[in-house]
Amino acid sequence: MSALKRVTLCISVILIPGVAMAPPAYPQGTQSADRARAVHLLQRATYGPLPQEIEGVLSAGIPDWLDRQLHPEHVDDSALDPMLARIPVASMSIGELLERYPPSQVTRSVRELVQSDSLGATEQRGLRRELREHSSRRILDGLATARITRAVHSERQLQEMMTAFWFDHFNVFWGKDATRSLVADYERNAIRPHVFGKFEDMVLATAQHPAMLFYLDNFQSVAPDRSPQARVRRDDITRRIQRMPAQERERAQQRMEQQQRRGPGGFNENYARELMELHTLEVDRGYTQADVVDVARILTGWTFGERGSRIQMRQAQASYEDGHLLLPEIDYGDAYRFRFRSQLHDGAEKTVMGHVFEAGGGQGEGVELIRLLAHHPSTARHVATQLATHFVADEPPASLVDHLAEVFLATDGDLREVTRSLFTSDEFYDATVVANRVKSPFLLVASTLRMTHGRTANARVLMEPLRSLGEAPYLAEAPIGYPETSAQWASSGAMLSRMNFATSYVTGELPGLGPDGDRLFSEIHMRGGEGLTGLTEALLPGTDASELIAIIQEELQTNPPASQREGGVRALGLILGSPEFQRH
Amino acid sequence: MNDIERRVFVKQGALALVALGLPPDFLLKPLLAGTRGLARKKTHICRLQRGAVDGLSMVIPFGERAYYGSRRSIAIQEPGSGDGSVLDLDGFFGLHPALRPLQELYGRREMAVVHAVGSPHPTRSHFDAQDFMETGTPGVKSTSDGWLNRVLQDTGCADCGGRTLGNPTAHAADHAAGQSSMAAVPALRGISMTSAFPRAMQGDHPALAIPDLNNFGVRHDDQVGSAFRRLYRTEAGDAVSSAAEEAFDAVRLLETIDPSRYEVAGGAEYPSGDFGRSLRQIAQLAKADVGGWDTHVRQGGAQGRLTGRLIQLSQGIRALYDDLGDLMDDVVILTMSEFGRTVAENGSGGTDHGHANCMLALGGSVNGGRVLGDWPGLERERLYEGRDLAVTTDFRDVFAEVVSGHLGAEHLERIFPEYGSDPGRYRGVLR
Repeated sequence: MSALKRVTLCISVILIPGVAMAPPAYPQGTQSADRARAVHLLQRATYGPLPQEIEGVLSAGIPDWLDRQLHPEHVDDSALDPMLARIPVASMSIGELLERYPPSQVTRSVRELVQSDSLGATEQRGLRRELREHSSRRILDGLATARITRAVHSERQLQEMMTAFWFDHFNVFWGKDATRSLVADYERNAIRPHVFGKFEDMVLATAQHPAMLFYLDNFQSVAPDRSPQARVRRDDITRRIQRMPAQERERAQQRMEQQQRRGPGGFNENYARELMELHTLEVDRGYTQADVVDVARILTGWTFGERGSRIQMRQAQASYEDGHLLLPEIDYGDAYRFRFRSQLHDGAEKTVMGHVFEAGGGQGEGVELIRLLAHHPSTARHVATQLATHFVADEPPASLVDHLAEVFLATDGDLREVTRSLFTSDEFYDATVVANRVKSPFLLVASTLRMTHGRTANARVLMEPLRSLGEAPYLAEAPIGYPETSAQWASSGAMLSRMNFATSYVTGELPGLGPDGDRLFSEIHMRGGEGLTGLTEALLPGTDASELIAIIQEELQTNPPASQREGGVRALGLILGSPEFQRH
Repeated sequence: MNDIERRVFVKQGALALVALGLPPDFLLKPLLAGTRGLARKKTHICRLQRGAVDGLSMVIPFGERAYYGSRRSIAIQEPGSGDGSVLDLDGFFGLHPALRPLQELYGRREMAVVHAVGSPHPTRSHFDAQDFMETGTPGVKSTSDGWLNRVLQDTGCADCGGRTLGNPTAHAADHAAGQSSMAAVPALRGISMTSAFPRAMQGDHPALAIPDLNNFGVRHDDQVGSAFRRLYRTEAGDAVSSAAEEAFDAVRLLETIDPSRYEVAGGAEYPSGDFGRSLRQIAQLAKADVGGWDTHVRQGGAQGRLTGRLIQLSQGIRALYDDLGDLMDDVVILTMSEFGRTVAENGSGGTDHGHANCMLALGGSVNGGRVLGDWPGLERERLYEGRDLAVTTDFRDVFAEVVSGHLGAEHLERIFPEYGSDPGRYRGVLR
């Protein structure tokens, strides 16, 4: 609240016509061309072009600034640590998350108790609160808070951008049962460490991570004749058939044979298909249904943990003792560790796109397969196209896609070099590309906070606006993730939600969130900026905002605000909700 | 025209699947009611079951031995075998027990089923198949607009003697100057309850995406609204501004409809609660459709995951149906999904990506009480690629029949390029 008051005091100058139109604080000419390039780079490679970051790019030069960002370990990010330390979920292991936020079956009986009338009102309230504290919903809150906090405050901006990008490429949906406890580790260990590494390593890490194994069902894909159910079923049927009267026996026998003919039923081809279609080759790249089936067969037996420990985990029950929720002590540790179970693996020969995998290849043939897919020229083009679409233009220049694909192949899928090429290419800086994208909802929200020095401690409340805008992190249900092209974000309903978001953010309607007007304006002041001009220069660097300024001024004159505070808040809200702020 | 023919259909060539869907459900009644005096408005609701619903579980060929042979753990018991058994439609096909709310509509001859319907393209990719279903051009990826948008373009504006909207903005201005019909805001002719536009609605004709009923409008005061309006007007022509302008226009029109006078008619039972909540639920139902049908694992039989989804679907449709009452004479609802699922269950009690599917058509003008199309059979040698239900009806034939017969579209060769319309191929979905 006090920050808002200060916003007003500083903005009050805009209410006096004439005073606000200070001359631009930055020099023109060749230096302004460099500045424009720096702004454009920051608009795409970070969550918002902060003025000091623009200066940073200008003094280091684009290649050096980029090189530092491409080596995040060289960028001091210690200011982020205390903020992340307040989000325990961000650093908890799978086991710790399961322990603290157990699967819903574990708390079932206690939740039933809360529903019943057997507790007194106070006890009921207390238990409810404890259940809420241990609800898996808290994991999502923590994940979202961490994602937003990093986007807004991390100095390793490019790493954060690319982590979000690759998470979406290898999307898993938080809401699918066990995935809830697995997503944090997935982002931390399967995605983030590889965003400037080898593509192959990221494919392999995701393929072996329980989040992916669970989300796309591969963990229970088994060779048909190896499945224990199949064996039991077959024996059982054979016994039943033998007991039948002779005339029925023949028909039943035929039926069973017919079913055996209907083909394999033990494997699940969900992951195999998406591995080829979404993660590597892309659809229609010459593979057939038979190839999908053989990829699935190669990956049979790629699963996790001890089935026994998962069953034990689900059977464990929380209890209510001495007025408190008591969670059971279970060793969750190994339940979700990747395992190759050879007894579930289809050991026969397979062929994928002409490449023969000889019988008995075991786990190694899966690794070989992933290597084959990860280095395939179609994969290089797919990755190149996605990066160019996401970071350059909805219809990216063919020359850029070609170039990125070449770099990918020449460097063995080195994503650091591919990313470097992307942000240093001529195509990226082409005039037609600048400010031609509509910000994705997450970028809009993150850049709003970043550019206004917004607080992030309560960032979880942003999940609601993000959902309504259409891009809540970790909640894309389909494996394709969120749209890559920016045109899809410019729908009519979503535009209203964007304006409403800007307004609720500046008016303090989102609890615990809001701009730090004090800092924003003292910084503007130190740079010699003034009033509305200074404000638009800070929030919309490199944009011709004269018309925007004129309209806001006129608006404030036509509808004089009741107080200075209200006027300031309205001006800031209008800038953040303006069409200019929706683009990048 | 042709009730389903039980003759065995010799599989020829390849076919894939189809469908599409957008749910502009909730605004329907006020809009229909508000324009009744002017002209009867024909409305088409598409509900897309993204993720490929298992059509063989929605409309079950219980008369096929192969159905039970292929689905050991997920088959639904034959009609009359107690709780959770198939709801018989015609002695051969029946509805999943979760679709009970729709059984009566079938009995009233207001719901028809088209089975073994799909796209001629063989893809088993969700994303390609949805694309093809929404562009209406299977196999052609370069199509930039959706077929529903082309329908909007083609059917133009009834208030203007059917002329098409060559220039929607000018057209809107004409209306704004004269009358207050819903055509004054062309975008209101096409509504999608999603935050991003589905492919089917993308194109030159304005359309509206309403992600959240409660948040549709500019909050706070009129001043903020009018300032934003001006900000977005300065940039006329680009995507951001035109989307915003359409939204502003729609908001203004919607404000003239007094929601408090809109009461639920016909004792409709929405899945729960009062009407306001019901609208939200329908909106949520629309959102929840993403991916939820993709039942690779433990989809269940009479009980289970798929059942929960089907209950939501059928209750939502039925509630809307009852609430609209005789207005349903002017509405046709089509359900659709990008492709079907394997005939056989997989190793995890689920089904993988398949080929043909089924569609439901509901409404007063639907020639209901019948299962339409040619049934290809489920014996292995009759299956597409030896594993999936074959397509015997191109989805465009169903779409074409509805948009020509119900919405009065005339230029089907524009709506379905290189396919067009041959009434000889229609399945007789409409009366």
